[in-house]
Amino acid sequence: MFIIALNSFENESDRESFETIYIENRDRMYHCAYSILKDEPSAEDAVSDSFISLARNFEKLRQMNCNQIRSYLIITVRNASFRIYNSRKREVSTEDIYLDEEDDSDISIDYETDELRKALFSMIQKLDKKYGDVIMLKYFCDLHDKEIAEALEISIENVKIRLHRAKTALKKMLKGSGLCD
Amino acid sequence: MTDKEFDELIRKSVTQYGSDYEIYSSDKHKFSDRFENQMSELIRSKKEEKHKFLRLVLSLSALAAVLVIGIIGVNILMPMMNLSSGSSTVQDLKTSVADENDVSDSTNTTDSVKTADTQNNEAEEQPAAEDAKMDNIVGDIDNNVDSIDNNVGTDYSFPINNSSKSIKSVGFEVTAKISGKETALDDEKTERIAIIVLGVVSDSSILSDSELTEEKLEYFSEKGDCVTIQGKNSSPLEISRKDGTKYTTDSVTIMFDHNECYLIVVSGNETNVFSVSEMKEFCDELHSYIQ
Repeated sequence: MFIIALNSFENESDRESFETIYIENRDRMYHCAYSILKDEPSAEDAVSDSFISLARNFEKLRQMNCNQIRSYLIITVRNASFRIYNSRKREVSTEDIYLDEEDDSDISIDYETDELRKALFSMIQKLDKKYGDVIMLKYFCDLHDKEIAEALEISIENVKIRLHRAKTALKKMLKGSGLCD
Repeated sequence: MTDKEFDELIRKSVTQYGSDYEIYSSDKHKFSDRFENQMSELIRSKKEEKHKFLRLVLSLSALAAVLVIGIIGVNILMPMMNLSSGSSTVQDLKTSVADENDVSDSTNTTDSVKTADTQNNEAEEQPAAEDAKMDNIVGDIDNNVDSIDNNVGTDYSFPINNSSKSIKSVGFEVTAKISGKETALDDEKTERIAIIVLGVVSDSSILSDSELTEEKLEYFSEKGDCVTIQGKNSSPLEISRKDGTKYTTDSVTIMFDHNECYLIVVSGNETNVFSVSEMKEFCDELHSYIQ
């Protein structure tokens, strides 16, 4: 698998960038994976899976800064960890695809302040990770739906669904916070 | 607040605070030898592979250079060596050239009248023959379009090469899902679905921006039936529209149910949604193929 991934680099400088990213992030990614899997070999497998994903999407990631890449890697390693965790339990992780409620949370904001943006970000952190992750990949890492689908190994439709639900939930949380009408 | 404005607010928020999204310890972990070896060995092997590749390229270049020199040697140097080998040989060559000129002169004079006549005759006959040939071609195309129209059950003609037989040669893969579950398709159904889907996409007159909401889109993606067509081996599909315009897309997906039909054109990173709700018959026909 790694050979396939490394073959996707166009030149030596890409390979060097990859190695640098690998060395800078592998420990942090390992701790993230271990917090889910509680098992060293599986956590290492999750880390290697994520680097394969990184290599596959390297064209796009080349334009990211180190913070964006770090977020991308943490999200993909967590996703890989959950996949391993689920396969260990012999359960297939399925997307909860049914809408439980309609989107009636249209909001109106008079002034966009720092406080509002900060509050919104803390709400994104409070979202279920599968929804928070798509928001981060979309708006922070600036990935297209297709690229998010590849990174998380889900369908484009599911990406759209998760984005929609995440935004609906955020609107409701904002409304509830009293920061907007 | 519009969706766009809300998107922008989220973007600003995560841009400002996003680096704090997930904070995990960066304490050094002692990775297993297996993991370390896997990484270092693979990177090293890739580099060696690159060197091997360079060596191969250099060897091939050297071989090609030797071949070129050899060919030049045979074609240029050998005749020169022959010419310089004696005056009798040169004389023989001159004689043979003169003989050849005589022969060609005589044939020219004897055939010249004939050639002129036949050319005139051919010039008169050619337009008629070409007309007949063109009529046949046009007839064939018309027949093909008719047969496709029959297949589709609508008046949408199929634009790619005007022939249903060309679909397989272009190389499509079609997947169909009923309520989210993939269903098997035989060759005949694959071909007919490809005709319908591409026939619809080709006709820009029926495509109009829809007011399809995200909720509806979700509904269709989750509960609706869908067919997706894409080029084999991830090759792009080039679609010619009736109005003469062309566009390229990775895949075309149609999601539908018995009452409504929405056309989702996934092209690169963009997803465009069009309503083709008037095409009830088309939906029913597609449904009948994937059942």
